[in-house]
Amino acid sequence: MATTLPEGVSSSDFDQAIREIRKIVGDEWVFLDSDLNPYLDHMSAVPPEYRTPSAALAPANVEETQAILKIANRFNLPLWTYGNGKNWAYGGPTPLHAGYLVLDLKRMNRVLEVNEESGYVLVEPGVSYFQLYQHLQDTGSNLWIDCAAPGWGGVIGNALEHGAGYTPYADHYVMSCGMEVLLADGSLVRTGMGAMPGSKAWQQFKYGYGPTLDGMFTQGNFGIVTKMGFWMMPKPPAYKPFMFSYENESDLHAIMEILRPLKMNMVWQNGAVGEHIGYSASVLGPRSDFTNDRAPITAERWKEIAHDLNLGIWNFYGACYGLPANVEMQFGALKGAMTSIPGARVWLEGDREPNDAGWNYRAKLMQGIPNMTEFNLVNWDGGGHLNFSPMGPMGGDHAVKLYNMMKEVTNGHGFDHLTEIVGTFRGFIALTMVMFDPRDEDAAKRADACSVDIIQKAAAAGYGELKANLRYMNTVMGSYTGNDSGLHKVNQKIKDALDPQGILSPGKSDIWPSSWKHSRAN
Amino acid sequence: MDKLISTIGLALLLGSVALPGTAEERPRSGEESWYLFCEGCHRPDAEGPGAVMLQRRYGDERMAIKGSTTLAPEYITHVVRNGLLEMAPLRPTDITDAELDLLIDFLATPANPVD
Ligand SMILES: Cc1cc2nc3c(=O)[nH]c(=O)nc-3n(C[C@H](O)[C@H](O)[C@H](O)COP(=O)(O)OP(=O)(O)OC[C@H]3O[C@@H](n4cnc5c(N)ncnc54)[C@H](O)[C@@H]3O)c2cc1C
Ligand code: HEC
Repeated sequence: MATTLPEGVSSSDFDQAIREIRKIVGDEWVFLDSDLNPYLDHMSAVPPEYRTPSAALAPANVEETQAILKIANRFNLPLWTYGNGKNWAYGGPTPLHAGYLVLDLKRMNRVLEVNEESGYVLVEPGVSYFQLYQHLQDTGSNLWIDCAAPGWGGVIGNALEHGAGYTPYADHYVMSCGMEVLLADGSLVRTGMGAMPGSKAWQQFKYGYGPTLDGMFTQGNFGIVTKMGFWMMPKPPAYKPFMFSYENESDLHAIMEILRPLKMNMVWQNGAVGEHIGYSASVLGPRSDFTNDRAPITAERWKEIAHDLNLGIWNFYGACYGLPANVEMQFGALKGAMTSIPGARVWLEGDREPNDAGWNYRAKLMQGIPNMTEFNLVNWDGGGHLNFSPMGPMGGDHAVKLYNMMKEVTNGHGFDHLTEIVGTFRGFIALTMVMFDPRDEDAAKRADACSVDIIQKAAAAGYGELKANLRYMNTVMGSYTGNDSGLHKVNQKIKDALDPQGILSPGKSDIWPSSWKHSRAN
Repeated sequence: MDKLISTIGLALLLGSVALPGTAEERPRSGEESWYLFCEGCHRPDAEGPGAVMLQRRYGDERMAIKGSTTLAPEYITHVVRNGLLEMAPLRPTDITDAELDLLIDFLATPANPVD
């Protein structure tokens, strides 16, 4: 495999830089050529060669990372950073452009502190949900974690991407407290109270004094996060998972109207995860379990599938947490409201078949037990998968509008409409998945076109994406153009101030320093 | 209420467990790598996406990779480092070559040892 060098870097400079980096991290933690195979993404709409890195580097600690930054500054090397690199559906472990160097922080995986008294942990970027969960189990902790559906994901990486889980602590960035960050020039910064020498409350209070910078280091490229604190939920005395199922596609409007005050008043404490039957089915088996027809699955067929699986067209999962009596009272209120729709059914622990993977993995996620079951989705149609999350305000009209729009777009490009409507405290996410066989060139091309269509049609109607696959970062940022692209411009100015050479993940969220006149296509 | 108070009491008792910042000991055991990187997908039931896919493709006999006597070590290594269709690859920063060898040994031990 011929090495694709970073743009503008000579092969002699590259070789020299690699020689110096080897001395810092050791030969075994520098990966080149065919050792880069596991750094490729075979599951997107563009072939892996499109984003083959020139090298991958895996430092063991902050000092080694600082030393790498020095060399990167000297030789103008773009470093694409991540902690676990399991960001599947959004680009996986590959950098934005071929030739970038991957800075793989997986080896920095210490759980630095578990504080039972204040209910927090302080971790490094390589710590995964599985690892943190196991650590808390082994040490007899009384704290729950809140994990994203894929348990191999990273506590820090997921939070930096504004990721979410399924307990009341689901919003991972919101529940974070205190960061340590390396800037492009190698300087180290602690945010919030952590900036004070001898500070006693770095993980108890987010703000410290002065402007709050933490958010700036999420979903961008202004720094490398080397430590981060997270609040953990103490195990509640009672936990009661539930599911409400609904017979008709058209019930969505009423469901979302009923849900709005329940979420706003926190009667429904965690995310209200409303699986369309397509989503529920895809967690149980590949597409070939349900149809042999290549055309998108029709509403009539979904109805039959729902009947066969003893599920609704809509299946809303949630849970109650707290004191046993409160939990029963709260559940009573939820049940009264949510079953006012004709045909609604209630499912509790023990009501589903014992081997129902759908119920089982949700009941685990809602109490922070990490697993991988949702990856059944990835098996739907050959492994290719791209996720989109247009965001709308909670309520029936918007939910129905977005649902219909996403159905039309996905079906229009020849794909099944696989969706989950997740109610947050004020809004909802219309998670939409494009599943395709990446080895089928035509399907990959359609998936690519479908993706752009999803982003642009939703944006034109006022529903913005909250995350983006590498390929569509510029398309998504291209929809945040208000006030003469004011937001994009301030991001660019910050980039110019902090990283004028473009050492750190250039192009992440379409943020580039002005010195980079090239490489703007994704 | 009792339960809440005892829960809170327990938390106070445990206090802060501040660990010294030492690096984790490597290599990890095969069992540990299995838990961190494979079991979630390869638990041999409907909750394991790897098992589900292998069952659909090849039938019940090939559903479980833990305890399989037919998977060659070279094949496992190849799949882990390069991925296989719906399975994404794993990197040496996840599982080192030495850890992969331990993992392969672990896979070859029976899934349910006879008591
Ligand atoms: C079937 C399926 C289900 C999913 N379910 C969920 C879900 O429930 N919730 C959810 O949130 N996501 C979900 N995802 C998306 C994704 O898998 C997770 O968000 C996953 O946690 C991201 O991978 P990671 O944690 O390894 O992050 P990484 O790949 O390590 O990081 C993600 C990005 O964050 C930045 N970053 C990471 N570490 C650093 C650092 N130290 N310094 C600076 N920048 C950094 C980088 O830009 C990086 O590309 C799902 C995906 C699939 C395919
Ligand atoms: C994200 C889910 C996932 C993870 C994690 C995962 N696998 Fe897999 N694996 C799969 C899937 C899906 C398949 C089936 C691919 C196919 O043939 O369609 C598979 C297939 C395999 C096969 C081929 C078996 C055969 O009979 O041909 C081997 C070997 C394997 N995996 C080993 C591992 C090992 C070892 C690990 C941990 C280091 C691991 N896998 C982690 C999903 C996963």
